[in-house]
Amino acid sequence: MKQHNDSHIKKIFEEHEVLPSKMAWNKLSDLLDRQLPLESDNQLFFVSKKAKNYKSILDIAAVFLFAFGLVFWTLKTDEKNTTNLVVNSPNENKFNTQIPLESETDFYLEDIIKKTPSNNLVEKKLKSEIVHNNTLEVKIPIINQEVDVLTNDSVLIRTIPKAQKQIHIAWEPVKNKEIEIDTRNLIRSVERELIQDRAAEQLDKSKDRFEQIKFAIINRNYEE
Amino acid sequence: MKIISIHKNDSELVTLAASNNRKAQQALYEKFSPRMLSVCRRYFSNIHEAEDAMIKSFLKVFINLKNYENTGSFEGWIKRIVVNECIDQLRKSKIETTEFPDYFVEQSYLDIDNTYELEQIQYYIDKLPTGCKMVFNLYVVEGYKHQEISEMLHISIGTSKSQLSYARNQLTQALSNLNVKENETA
Repeated sequence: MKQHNDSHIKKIFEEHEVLPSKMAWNKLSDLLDRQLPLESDNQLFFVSKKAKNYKSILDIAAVFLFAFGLVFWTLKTDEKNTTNLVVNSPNENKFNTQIPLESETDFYLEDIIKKTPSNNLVEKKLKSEIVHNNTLEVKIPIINQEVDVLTNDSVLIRTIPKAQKQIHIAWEPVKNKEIEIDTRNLIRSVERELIQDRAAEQLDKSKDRFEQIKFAIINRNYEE
Repeated sequence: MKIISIHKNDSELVTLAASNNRKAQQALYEKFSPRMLSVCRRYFSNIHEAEDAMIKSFLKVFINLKNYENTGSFEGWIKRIVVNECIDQLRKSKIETTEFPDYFVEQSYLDIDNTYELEQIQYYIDKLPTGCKMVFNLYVVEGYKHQEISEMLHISIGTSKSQLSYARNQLTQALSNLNVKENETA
């Protein structure tokens, strides 16, 4: 009887479960954090330390490679972009293009474009035409900056086919020079002058008329 | 929160938890904590104290998990740690054990019906003096011998027996009274 009751109590207690509160694990986890460092943390720390060493070496190597590649690429690109410029124009000083006459010098295409007035237009035109043609011939209009008018002078840029990869730039003087003038201003100034002239004429006429009348009156008085 | 399904069996979990894998530790905790809290509850009438004891027990479990040899039941190993922790906690609160005469031991037995619910029995166990309660739990529920109990609680075997006897008598009396009251009500 005694044993039977003991086993009954043991059975019902052993089967019994009490759910702990939700905070219990958090408390235990905190205690574990204090007592035991996390395995994953340790591993991460270990790995990250190693990885850091490798990573730093790789980073440095990558930076060097990148820098070397960049320099190499820049040099290559510079070679490609270098142009052989021949200037034949006798008018170069007139338009202040700063390109020496009758000389064959290496120029960077970009520099030429920059030095040439109306940069954007030229660049756009060049870009569009270079894409389509192996041989390019572009006439770039030049603006005479002193007068601020478009001239018919232009820079002729010819590209030699891809094989040679050079851009040949030559000055071509244009025979028929035409200077564009701001007609509005001109008309206004002419009108102004005309008005002034007319006023002067009127004044002169009035003076003459006055003189005539004056003499007429004098003569009539005299006759009377 | 259900991490248990990821892991296949306890030994894998134990291996992982021993290497301080937090998820494995959590999985083990979630698996065994309800039963271990029930163990603690038998020693502490206050559920919060019981939970504290359980948390400390699990801390010891995870700290000493490397020393666990895969022989025997893992749950049994945890339970021993839990019981020892409960005893330590109760000992720290300076429990008083009362010596009872030997004749009392001879007369004692738990004479109760098997119809009583756990809550009813637990209620009267909670009312027992702490020393009696410990001996009763260790002997009746955990299955320790008086020799082991005497070593665990640093008491004599006679004291262990007398405590058990007293606890049984108290329980029998309380549950009999309860039975009488229930019959009268009916």
